[in-house]
Amino acid sequence: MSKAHAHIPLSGRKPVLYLGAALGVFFLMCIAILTMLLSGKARLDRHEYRASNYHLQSLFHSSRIRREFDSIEHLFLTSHASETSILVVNSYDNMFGRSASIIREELGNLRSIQEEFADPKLVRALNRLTRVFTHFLEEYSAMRQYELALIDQLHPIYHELGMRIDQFDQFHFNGFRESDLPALKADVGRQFFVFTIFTTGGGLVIIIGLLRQLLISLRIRHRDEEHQKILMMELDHRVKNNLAAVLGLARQSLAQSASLEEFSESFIGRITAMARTHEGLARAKWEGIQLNDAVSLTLMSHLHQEPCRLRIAGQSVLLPSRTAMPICLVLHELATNSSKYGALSVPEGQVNLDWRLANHDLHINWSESDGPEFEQPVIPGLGMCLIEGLIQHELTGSVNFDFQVRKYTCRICFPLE
Amino acid sequence: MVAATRKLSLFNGLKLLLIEDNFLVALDLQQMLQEMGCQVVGPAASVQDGIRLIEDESFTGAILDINLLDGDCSPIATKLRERNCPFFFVTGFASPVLQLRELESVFRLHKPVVSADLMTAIQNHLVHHDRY
Repeated sequence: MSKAHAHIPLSGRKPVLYLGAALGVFFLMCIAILTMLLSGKARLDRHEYRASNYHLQSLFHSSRIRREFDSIEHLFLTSHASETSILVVNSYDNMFGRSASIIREELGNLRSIQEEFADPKLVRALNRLTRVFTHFLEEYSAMRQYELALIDQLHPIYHELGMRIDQFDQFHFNGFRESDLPALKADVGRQFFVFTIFTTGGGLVIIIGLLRQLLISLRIRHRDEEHQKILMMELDHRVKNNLAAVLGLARQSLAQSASLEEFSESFIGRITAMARTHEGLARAKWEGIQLNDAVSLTLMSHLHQEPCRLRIAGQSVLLPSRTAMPICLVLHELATNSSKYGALSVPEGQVNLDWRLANHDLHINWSESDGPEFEQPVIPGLGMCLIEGLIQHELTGSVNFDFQVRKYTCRICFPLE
Repeated sequence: MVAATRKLSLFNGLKLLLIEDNFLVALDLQQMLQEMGCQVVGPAASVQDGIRLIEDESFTGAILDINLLDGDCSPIATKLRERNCPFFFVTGFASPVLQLRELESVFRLHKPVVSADLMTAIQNHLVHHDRY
């Protein structure tokens, strides 16, 4: 206790008073420890153990506080379970000085958190808390100086504090009044910050819920918000890029279409192919898609109509998200073209689609045979432009067409990341 | 017809470098630029190809997508700055994502791009540019 005396910040009393106070405290502490042991609360750790002594000590001084005994006791136990330290300090100068330094320390902690997160809400809450605390200290020392009645003077401060702390609710700072003690239990259970002050017959009692858990939950919340922000940005980016691509496709299809019917058929077909790929990729959480699945999705309608004339064979290959969209669009162009002008446009025509992976290069072959008689490319302008452009530009690959009488092969090759 | 002719002659052969990794978007931009009377160098889809074009070709300005096949377009932007060549970005990103902080002040045209906005951006940032 003598060590504690050395830190008394606001003392004006004579040493003999301290000796008396120390003896009194010591005596009360003995009673407190005995009480605690008897009631089976010796589980409290050292910090809380000492805090309990202060707490119990103040209880012996105050009949009003004794009324709240059950609630406060519960606060201790809950705080122990959730590792939140709760300190109850009575109005003795040394203890007040200690609680003041703890509040200062915690304000400092909050400040460093605020710097770390730069959260404007937290800045405002902190500034308010600091103002309230500074105001409280000033009032308190002024009162000591003029030896005014504690209770009357503290009432307005208490109300001010309670009111201001109420404003912290949205930041998960929960203040409470004497009448709110039952609610406090829930707050501590949620591991929120609790800061309250109330006056008693014996003087001033300050309860501070320290901020360890708050700091942790703030950090977690901040991390979640950051994660959410990144996801939103990524989504925004993808949507805009896709819209830009769709618009580009619309303008190109429009420019190359002879009639509105032709435009609507080709455009809707291409957008549907994009949508199906998107669906397949979304189902795979954008972690890529099996080429086999991409082929099934894109050529679905052709496969339903011509199951035997469209043969598909290839090993298991995982297409990364970025690669899937161009590949599916190219397959769509090849299939659409085939059913219009190529092998799939005549009853005896046959299409073979196969692929293989060699030295990180994916080779895809689209071969048509027994098609209608043609010697020159049967793929019209935009279709050819899309096939070549998508493979060469987006996949840094190559496309070769080998046209012969009644058959042709399209050979695609590109590096698979 | 008169409008079309005026549009065609607007930039009268202004040679612009186009860097955009999405083929459909690149094709669209290329066509828009050509309709405005620009000559297009590229389009290139990667930083590597972009740098090669800067070294091999000549042009008066550049339009850059930010995210390319092989990463952020910062190396291309830096090279253009070194050569005092004006450029602006075309991007789907609303927030800055560039590695180089000093590029954050460069004008950004947001996707999807409309022809009229593209024209204004070229006029303001590639034709009448004061410093680079």
